[in-house]
Amino acid sequence: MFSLNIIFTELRLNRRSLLIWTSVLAIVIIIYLGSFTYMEEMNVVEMIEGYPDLFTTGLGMSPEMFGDVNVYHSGLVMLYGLLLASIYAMMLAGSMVSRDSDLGTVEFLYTRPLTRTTILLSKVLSFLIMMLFLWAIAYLFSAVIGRVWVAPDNFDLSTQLLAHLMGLLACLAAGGVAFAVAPLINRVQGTTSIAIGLGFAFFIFNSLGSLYEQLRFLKYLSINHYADLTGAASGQAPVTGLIVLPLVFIAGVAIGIVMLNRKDFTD
Amino acid sequence: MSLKAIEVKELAKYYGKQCGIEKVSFTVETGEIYGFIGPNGAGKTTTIRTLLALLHPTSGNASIFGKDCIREAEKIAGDVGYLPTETYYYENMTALELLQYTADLYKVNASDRISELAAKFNLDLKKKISNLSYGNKKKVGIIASLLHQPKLLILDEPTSGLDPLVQQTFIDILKEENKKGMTVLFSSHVLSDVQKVCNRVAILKEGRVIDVQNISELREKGFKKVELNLTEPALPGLFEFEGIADFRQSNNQISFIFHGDLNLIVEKIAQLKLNDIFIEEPTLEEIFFHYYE
Repeated sequence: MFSLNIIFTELRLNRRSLLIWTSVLAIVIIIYLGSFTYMEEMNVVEMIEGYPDLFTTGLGMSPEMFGDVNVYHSGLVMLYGLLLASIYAMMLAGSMVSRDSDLGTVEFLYTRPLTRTTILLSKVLSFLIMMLFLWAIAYLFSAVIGRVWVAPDNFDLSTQLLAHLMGLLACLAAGGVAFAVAPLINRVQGTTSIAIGLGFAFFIFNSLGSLYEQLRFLKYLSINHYADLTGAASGQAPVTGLIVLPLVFIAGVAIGIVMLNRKDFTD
Repeated sequence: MSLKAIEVKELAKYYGKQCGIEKVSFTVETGEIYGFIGPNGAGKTTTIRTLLALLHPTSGNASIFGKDCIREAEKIAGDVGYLPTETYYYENMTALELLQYTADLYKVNASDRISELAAKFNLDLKKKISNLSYGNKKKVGIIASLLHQPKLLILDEPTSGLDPLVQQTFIDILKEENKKGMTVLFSSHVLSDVQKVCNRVAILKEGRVIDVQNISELREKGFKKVELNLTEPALPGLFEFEGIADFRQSNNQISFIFHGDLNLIVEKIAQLKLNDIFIEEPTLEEIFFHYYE
C-alpha cells in the first residue's frame, strides 16, 4: 500500500521547502504573539473599536480578541498562519504529483513495480508527516512564546492545542483538494498558482460569508470556516470541522487516486 | 510453446481526434532483439509508453510475458527494464543514490551490479545528477534499466547522446545480456544501430506497422542501388515504373533504389549511353527510405 522508499525520497526532496515554510510560520508566531503585550499597551482595543465593523470582520478581527491572549492567538494570529500554511499545503501536495510530469521523472517512477495508487498514497503519507511536523513546530513555538514570554498565567495550552489541531486538519483538507486536482496539471507552476489562488479564495470566501447574509453560502466552501479557529479559541471543539475536514482530505485523496490511475502520461 | 515476450494486437491510441498509433500489431519472441524503426512521429514512443502503461490504449491490447500491460502493469514492471529517450532524474541526488533508490524500488540488492556497470561505462557515481552531462545521465539511465537484470529490456532511442565508444560498450553489454536470455525491444531511427544488434525489425509509418522483416532477409531481398553516369541526358519518364524508389536526377547523373526484376532495369539502361555504372547493395538506411516514400 505504501512504499517507504518513495516516502523517504519525498521527505528528502521537500525538506528544504518544509524548513522554509515552518520557519516562516514560526516567525509569524514570534512576531505577532510576541507583540500581544505591546498591543495591550497601545490601546489597540479602542483603535479597533473605531474601525467600521465591515473592515474588522472582513479581516477576522474583533475588539475582544485584543483583550484575551488565547482568542488573539487562535482567532487572529493562527487565522493568518492558516492562510500561509494552507497555501503551502496545497503547493506541497500539488507539486508532489505534478513534479514528475514537469521534470520528466514520470518515466523513472511510474515504470517501476508499483501501482499508481501505491505511489500516490506514499506521497500522501509523506505529506501527512510534513504537515504534522509543521504544526508540531508551530504549536511548540506558540507554547514557548505564549507561556514563557507573553502570558505565563493566561496562555492556555489545551485551547491552543485544539486550535493547532484544527489548523492541521484544515491543511490536510487543503492538501486533499490539491491531490484531487494535481493529476490534471502537468506543471508545478500550475499547481503553485492554483494553491495561491485557492488559499486566498478560502480566506476571502470565509470573510465574505461572515460579512454578508446573501453570501453566507460562500463560507461553506472555505476550509477556514470549518477550521473555526475562533470557536477553538473559546475551548469548544468545532465538531463540524472535526468531521468535515478529514472527510475533505480523504475524498480529495480518493479522487486523486482515480484521476491518477486514469491519467495518460504523454510527452 | 515458449511465451511471447511481447504480443501487441490491433493497438490504437488516439489523443482526441489525433492519431498516435493505429492498429499496431507485432510479436516479439522471448530471447530475440527486436528492432522498432521509424521516423519521428511514427508512433514508436507511443507504442512503448502503452506497453509500459504510461498511456491507456484507445483499443486493442498488449501483453508482456502473457500479462496484460495495463491490468498487470505492476507485475510486469518487475521483469522489465526501460531506457527512455530523454533521461530525467532527481537532480539533487548523486548517481549512486539514484541507482540505489531504483534498486530499492525493485527490492533487489544491486550494489555489485551497479559498481560493475559503472566501471564498464566509466561513470563517476559520486557526482550529483545535476552535474552530469547528457551522455553521463544516459549512462545512469542504462545502468538503472539493467541493474535488476530484467527479462525484457525496452530501449527508446538508446544511443542518442552517447559517444561511439560508449555506444559500442552498450551494444556489447546488450549482446552479452541477450546471450543470457534477455529479450530486447530496440526502438530507434538510427538504422545502423538497429542493424548492429537486431534479429528482426518492425517498420512503423504514420502510426502503423507497415512491415516486419528479418534484418538479414531485408538485405537479401534483392534491393539494388543503381548509379548511372550518362554521356547525354536520359529521356524523361524512362525510369517511371514500379520498383523504383528514391529516384534522383541531376544533369547526367541518375541514382535510384530498385526492387524487382533486374532484366527490366537492364533493358532500360541498354537504351542509354553510359560513362559509368554502379550497381551495389544499398545500406539499410537507403532501403528504409524506400518504405517511406
